Amino acid sequence: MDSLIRQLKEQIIDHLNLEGLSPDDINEKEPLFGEGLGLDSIDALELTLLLERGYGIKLENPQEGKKIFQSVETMAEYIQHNKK
Amino acid sequence: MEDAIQPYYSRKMDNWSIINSVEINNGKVFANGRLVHDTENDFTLASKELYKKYSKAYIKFFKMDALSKLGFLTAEILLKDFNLENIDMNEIALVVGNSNATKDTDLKYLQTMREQPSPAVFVYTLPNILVGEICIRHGFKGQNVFYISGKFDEEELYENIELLINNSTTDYVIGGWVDFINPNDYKSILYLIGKDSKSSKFAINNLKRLNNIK
Amino acid sequence: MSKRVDIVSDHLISALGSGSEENFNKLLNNRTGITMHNNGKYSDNMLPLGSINDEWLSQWAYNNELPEGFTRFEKLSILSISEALKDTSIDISSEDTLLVLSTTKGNVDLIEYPEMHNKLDLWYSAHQIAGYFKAKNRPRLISNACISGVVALMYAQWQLKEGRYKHAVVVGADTLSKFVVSGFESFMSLSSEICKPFDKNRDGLTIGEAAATMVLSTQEKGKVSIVKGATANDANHISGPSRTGEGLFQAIKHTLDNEDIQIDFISAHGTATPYNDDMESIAITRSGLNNVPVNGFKGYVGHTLGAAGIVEVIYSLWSMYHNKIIKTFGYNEFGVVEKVNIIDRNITKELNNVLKTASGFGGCNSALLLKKNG
Repeated sequence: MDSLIRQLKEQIIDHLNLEGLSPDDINEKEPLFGEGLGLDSIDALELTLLLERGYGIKLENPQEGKKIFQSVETMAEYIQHNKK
Repeated sequence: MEDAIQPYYSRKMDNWSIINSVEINNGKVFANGRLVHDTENDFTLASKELYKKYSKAYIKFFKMDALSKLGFLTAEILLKDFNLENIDMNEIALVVGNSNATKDTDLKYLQTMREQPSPAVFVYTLPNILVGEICIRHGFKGQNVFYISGKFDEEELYENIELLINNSTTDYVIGGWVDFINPNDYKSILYLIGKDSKSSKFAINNLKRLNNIK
Repeated sequence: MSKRVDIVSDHLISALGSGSEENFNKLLNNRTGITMHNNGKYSDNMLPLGSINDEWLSQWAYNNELPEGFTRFEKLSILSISEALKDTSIDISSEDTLLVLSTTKGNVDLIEYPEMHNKLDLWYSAHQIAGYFKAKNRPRLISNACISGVVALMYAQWQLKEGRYKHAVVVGADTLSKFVVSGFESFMSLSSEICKPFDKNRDGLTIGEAAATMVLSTQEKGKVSIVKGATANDANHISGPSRTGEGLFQAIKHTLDNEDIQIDFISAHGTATPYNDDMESIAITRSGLNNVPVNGFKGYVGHTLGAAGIVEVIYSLWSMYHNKIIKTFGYNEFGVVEKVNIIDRNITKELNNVLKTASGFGGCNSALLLKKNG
């Protein structure tokens, strides 16, 4: 789980162009959207693509994203349960 | 018969001044014409240096494309000692131009388009996004005009700001040029224009005087 | 002293055809120009798009002996400007005339071809077009996302009303490209059907292409004049519309200037994305205009980006000439948060004062007031 969290942080930094941030700057328990990292709806699309391309998980309902993308930790948990 | 064309210069401009100016030009930063920062690094590193030196925690900065970062940083330095309290945010306008629009980001988007189109890159393929980023950062809700021209020309900038002032109720204009070709070739200059009798007059020769690197 | 800026001529080429009259006749018959595309040129998916028939363009280029060396975007702009000037005595090459261009992406369809990269700059196209017409004055170019067209008209009106020039030719153009279509697809903001502005089931926009020209003058008289325009920023988000409609509300407020003026019709932006149309309904209601008839034209030709403002002002202008408000194509069932008066069938009404609005990425909003001359 820890290595998955680390990997996810790196991928998020890469996919969302958070150039200048390091994985240690992201707290896996903090909210990704709103406060915390301050991500927005476009970032949510990027995260959806990340799940699809990085882990082979396709979100059928975009509404699901809200729960999954709460934090790096919730993302990691979702990936562990649904990875193909 | 129409009456003869009247001379268009406006007496209104007599009350307007250049309160501040900031130029960022290939690693050199000038505030009101004076060199305040100089780096050999390319923009990728220089932008981080400037962010650390002049800006506060603003995580959105890292998501911006290079053009928006350049405009954002220029505005951060321009406004750092300017008190925005008691100012009507609806009357702060931005008039900004450039020559290369978003070419650098367009080419980055083209790369993603060939594999997996990236929405986070595509959103930056409009030059006025940099104006939006500055407005979001400071809460500016006034008029916006983004223009494109072959090269930076103080006379054209003056004309565009003058037109806006003559035709609106604007109190302050942040006007200038933000152009990004690549990390080793970029230039921005922003002027804060307002009614402030202590500063130098808003005039073409003063815009030119404050522009260090042509 | 301030001068009245009249609209003396106009032309557009869009998915509905070439010529304002041709376009307006199809609007009167509620015919859309949007068609389904499945040839992989712009997308791997089947998509509705508002595309221009290239045969019209090549026929025109042949008939008018247009020299080689212009891109499709430039040719369309040249066609529209030439046709708009045809029935006027205005000389575009005179020092009294200013050329103002509006575009978001110009020649971006060429970005896939490295050997064409020297043509990508927007000012390059501006110089090509100005060069063709031997324009004396440096062309001015506005690129302000989807409000570009409205801003260009406002800007030209500023130039003329102060007497800096006597005439202005304002052209807005943007063409379809894989670049733009794939970008909007990546936002998941394209509808798989023809867009449905202000409808309950609206689910995204339809992209189109157009070149549209308006000729403005303080010397020649027209039936309608541009009274005033204004812009405002939401200062909220670079791609999402404001939840309160603040920027558009401010743009309308500055345009109407607290004057006691009765607006007869609003040509809204109406992109048919859920958030945009809701935002517009909020801003219109906050402006006290919720009873004024509102329509959206994007179901006829799609969202033509940097041309859209000028395309829709021309459609509004012809609506004023004919005292007809055109039905919002694609609209069936009311579905925005504030109760605004969406027009679902053509209606006849004396149109004296018309408001055009537009909003775009970067949080920008704009409004423009047109007035019929007595």
